[in-house]
Amino acid sequence: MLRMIGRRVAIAAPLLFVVSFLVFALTAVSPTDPARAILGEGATPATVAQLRHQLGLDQPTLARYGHWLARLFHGDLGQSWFGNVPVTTKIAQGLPATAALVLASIVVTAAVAVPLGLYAGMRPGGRVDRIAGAAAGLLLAMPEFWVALLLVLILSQKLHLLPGTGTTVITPDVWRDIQFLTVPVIAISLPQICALYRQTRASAAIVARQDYVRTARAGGIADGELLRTRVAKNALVPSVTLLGLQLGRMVGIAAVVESVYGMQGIGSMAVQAALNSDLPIVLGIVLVTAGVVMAANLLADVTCYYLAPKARTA
Amino acid sequence: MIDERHRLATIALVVFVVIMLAAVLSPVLPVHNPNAQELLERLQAPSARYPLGTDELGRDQLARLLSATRISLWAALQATVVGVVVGVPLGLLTGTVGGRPDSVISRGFDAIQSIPALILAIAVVAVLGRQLTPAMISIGVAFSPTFYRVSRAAASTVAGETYVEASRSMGQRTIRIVVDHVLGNVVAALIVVISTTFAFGILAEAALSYLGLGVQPPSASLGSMLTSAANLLNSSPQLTIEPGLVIILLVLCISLVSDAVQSLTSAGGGR
Repeated sequence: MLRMIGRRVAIAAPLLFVVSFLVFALTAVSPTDPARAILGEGATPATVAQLRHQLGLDQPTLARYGHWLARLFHGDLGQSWFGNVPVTTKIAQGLPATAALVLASIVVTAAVAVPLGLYAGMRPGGRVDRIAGAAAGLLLAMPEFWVALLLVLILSQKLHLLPGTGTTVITPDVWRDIQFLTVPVIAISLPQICALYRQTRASAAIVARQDYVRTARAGGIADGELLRTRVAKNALVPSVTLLGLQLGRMVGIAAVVESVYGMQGIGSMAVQAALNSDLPIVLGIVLVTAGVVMAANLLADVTCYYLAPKARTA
Repeated sequence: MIDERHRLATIALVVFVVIMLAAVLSPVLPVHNPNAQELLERLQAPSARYPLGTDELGRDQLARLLSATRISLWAALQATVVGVVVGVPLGLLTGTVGGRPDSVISRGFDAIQSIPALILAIAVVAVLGRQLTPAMISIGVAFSPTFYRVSRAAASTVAGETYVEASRSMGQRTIRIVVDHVLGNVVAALIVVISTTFAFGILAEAALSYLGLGVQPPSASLGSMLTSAANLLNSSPQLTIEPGLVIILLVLCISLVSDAVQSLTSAGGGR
């Protein structure tokens, strides 16, 4: 187990390195001059040149990459171009809201899609299978932020069931947090539930057709026990892999939903920074996101390893 | 069951083509100019003159929807073409050749895959400024690993076949082998990836333009129509609902067609 984790980390570490290079390459091709962006239109050429020197911008590109990478290893992602705040401080401010949003969405997605998918897969063509299949096709086509807009209209403005949009920062008041997170979590989860449902249903249907399951069924074992002892573990391997990938998708979608909902997460922060061309913030968020996505995939791999001993050679 | 599903897919294909034609031909169709403002006729209910009413600047909602759909489809097409161009040739090559090029290039695509599509697009917009085309190109790049993986898998399966070995032993060059033997075997799998990417392209365009990171006024896409409509959500919800329904209809049609293609090409012609 430990050796397998070690090998996966050894594969992932160079990937993060490649991502860091891609991210830096983006700044290198940027047509904006950071010094000019920070100082604004009215700056004299002399002050611009001085700041360029301070930021090390007068050095060759590769040398800059070297410095940037060295600072990165010390956990320093640079400074925001506006307000001179360290990027790590800004990201740390937004991270709790995004983490709460994405983790809650992952839990909701798995809790709804997996039981439903297993159940439908055990009885292909049954009522649950047909209704859920049709609903999944429809819901997958809905843009998340549009769903969020309509939910705000219906639940907050018409029915007054939930608080409206506003600055949602995660607070110690758990009940208030849950109320605020309900709409964004539903909006993010709906399409992901459908995707995960389809995957789980398909693989459960395949496992349920296997000879050993048919034999057990013929031997009189009830569906519930069949599912628990013979089907679930094997059928869930592709679902767990998908769930790992979905975490990355959710972080991307969180950027849109947070903006709709006025949440102060790293997603809406990235959008704001992109509108202001505040490159260090955006690139810091890209790096952090990539790291989180890789960790999620690693976690998914480890879980699959536990679920399916057969795949342990891979 | 199968027949029913294929009939549904046929209807979906027809609906998609009709919407596409209406959108593409909208400049020559007898509708209002989508950017013409009639400030005295703001937020009108549907009428003979304005079949879907007008928006907050007195512009014809139907004409806006048609021209917005055209821009959204064009954006999704850009992303899809980029995904194909970046992913497919490299996947065919490494799948056929294997070895060191395969492991190096596969790692590169793994790295791309670790950046969520929307986050990559946001980063590219931050660097290059607010324009739709670079944003959609980056969505295509973010999806290229799927194209790469599918074509690589198909190519490596075919590369092991005896007839490929035979043509290799007769001295055929790799490029020729890929074109003659591998390409045809990949097309079916690629159609599914292409339709998925196109559908996501529509959704991604909507999200980016909604945020103000994509298409810039005065031109409108389905996403940017929602930006101004969202402020009027309470008083004129139809302005928010209509572009959303067009998006859903487009994405739904594409996925129904794609599901049918998948079930036709997979072994046994269905589940």
